[in-house]
Amino acid sequence: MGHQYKAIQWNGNKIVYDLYVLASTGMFITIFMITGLATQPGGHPADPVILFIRALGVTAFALLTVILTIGPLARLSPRFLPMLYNRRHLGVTMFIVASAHFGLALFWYHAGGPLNPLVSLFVSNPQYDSIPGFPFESLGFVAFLIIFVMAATSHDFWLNNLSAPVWKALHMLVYPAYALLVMHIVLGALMTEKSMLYPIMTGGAFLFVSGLHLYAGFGEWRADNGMKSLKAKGWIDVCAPLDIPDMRAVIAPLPKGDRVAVFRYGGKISAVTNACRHQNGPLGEGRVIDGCITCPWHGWQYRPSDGISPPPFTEKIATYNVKIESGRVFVDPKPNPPGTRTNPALIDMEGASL
Amino acid sequence: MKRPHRRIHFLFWIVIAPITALVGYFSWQMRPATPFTELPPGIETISDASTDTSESR
Amino acid sequence: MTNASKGVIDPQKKDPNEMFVGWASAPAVDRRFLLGALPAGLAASAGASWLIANELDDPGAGAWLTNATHQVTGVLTNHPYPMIRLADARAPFGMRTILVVAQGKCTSGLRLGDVAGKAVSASGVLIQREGRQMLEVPLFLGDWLKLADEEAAEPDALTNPQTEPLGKATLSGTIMDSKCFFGVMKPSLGKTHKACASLCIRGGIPPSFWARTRDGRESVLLMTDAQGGPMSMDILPLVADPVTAQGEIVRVGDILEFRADPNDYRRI
Repeated sequence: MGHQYKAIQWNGNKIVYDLYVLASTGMFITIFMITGLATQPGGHPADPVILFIRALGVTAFALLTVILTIGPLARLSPRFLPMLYNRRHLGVTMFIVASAHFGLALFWYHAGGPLNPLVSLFVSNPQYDSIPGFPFESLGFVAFLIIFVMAATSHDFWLNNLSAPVWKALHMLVYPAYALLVMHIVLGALMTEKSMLYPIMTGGAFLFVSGLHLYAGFGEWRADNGMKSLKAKGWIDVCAPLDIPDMRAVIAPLPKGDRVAVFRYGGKISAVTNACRHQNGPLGEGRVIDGCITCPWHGWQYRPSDGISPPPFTEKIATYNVKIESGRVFVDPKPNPPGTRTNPALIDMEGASL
Repeated sequence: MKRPHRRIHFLFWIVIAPITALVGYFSWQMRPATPFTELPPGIETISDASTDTSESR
Repeated sequence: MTNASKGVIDPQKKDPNEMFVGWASAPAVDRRFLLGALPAGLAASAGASWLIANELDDPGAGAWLTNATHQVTGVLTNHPYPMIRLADARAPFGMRTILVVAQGKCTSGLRLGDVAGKAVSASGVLIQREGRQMLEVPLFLGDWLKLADEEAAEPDALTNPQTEPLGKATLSGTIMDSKCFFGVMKPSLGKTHKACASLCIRGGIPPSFWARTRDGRESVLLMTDAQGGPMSMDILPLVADPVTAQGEIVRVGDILEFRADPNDYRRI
């Protein structure tokens, strides 16, 4: 919830997270190297450098596959929220592994020759007009550039200075990067290696990731379709007061394409934007903890009545006016400026059948 | 903060998933196989040279 | 209108009471899940790593013997590529031909013209694969190359080795760079190695033609132009791809040359 830019704001969960990421990544590479060197048929192992290049490439792709499943999985079950919490460290780990893959491949295959290695990367295979012959190196390079920009701007400093929508749009380039990496593998290793395991695993990873995103996204699309019917001006009928679970919210679409999170905390109801100030996290899927709306993604907090983070923090989100009339909760679709105090609607606990 | 960004994620995948799956599958189908050849007789005997490297002179 | 949020996926609905918040300690339900999921994740990644590394293609028997310096005494020739021929009674045709390349991927700077045709003693790192040998030496002349006693090197048979035409042939196979194939890089065939092989050949490393028959026999032939001279760089785009060409197979001493016009190579 902080606005002070420290390199990393450590806490116990982040340390456990990072140790697990480091341990599993290190173990993956180690097992790959030992297996590759020890168990080749005919006693002919690949040379250790090429084996290492492959281990790094496989690891980076596996990490990115895991990273891309976390978002939709967290939408399907809150059990995956702990993985989402420190996801950017997973991303930075992936970038470091991908850098090592890129650097070592550039050195081993392209250095020490009659051309500049970076020139060789693009001209040594000139078959840009062929599909199976296409220089897969260039696809990996473009994906690496995207990942580099993402890693370089991964800190919250950039998130704030680029603004959340620009930052999110920039980071959405990871999807084309993933598609490029799939093609980098298909047009590279899969053109040579004979085992069916590789196309099955690569295709399986891609279908799993895209399937999860499409499944989770379909739900969002249906919800957004609900908005089209909301052309009417004036206050919006959201639900009955006690349809909202205590300390939680109901998310309602608004006519202009935004979403409002209507929270109930005891006998009071307040409404705020559904988008967290931090990374546009879904506030309405969070809950009220210690009197504050708490984002399920990274735990940023806001007071329900005015949308301001509790001191010492100063983040503000838009609030919406709420009223209860004839047993229904109504929201004014016009957002108040971020941090505007509103009067919570009070539930008549007598009248409501508890 | 004026946008339901999750819809954009969905649109991204609607476009990327089928394109990548199709292009990937068909380019994989086009992968070349190293061809077999007919070697003239007498060639294999030559390639079967000594592997002894202990003697360097 | 009662529930405008109908379509929104709300994961919390299944579990309304607890939520993981990063800066707080994890709820019991998350702890239980993670206690199972984290070890399962480790096991799955270990299994995947083993599976992937275990299925890699056999990269062949090449070896790059970087631990020792190897000394070779024989007659040096510069045509079509730098090589040293030495007498070896146990080898076919009584001689062994060892290609000479420089360290790295640039070997065209290796100026051996002055000593061509003379008996030399050269030391370097040996690269070998199934009887084919190559000596890797520094790019610039130095102590590694000395003129040798001509008697010991039997210069006559080695300077002008027996040459035997084996006839015209149409071969299908792959162009690769001899250095990587002989053992510097494993694997050294296929598309992942194409750029490297092309760069090596551009740098002057002799191109070879790798062909195999349906019954599994393999042959590696040194590629020259139709006259037996060094191969033109025109073949660079075809390196590592499946190609076919009509040419002439010629035995020179103990090695085979595939003599074909660079324009005759076709991708298949």
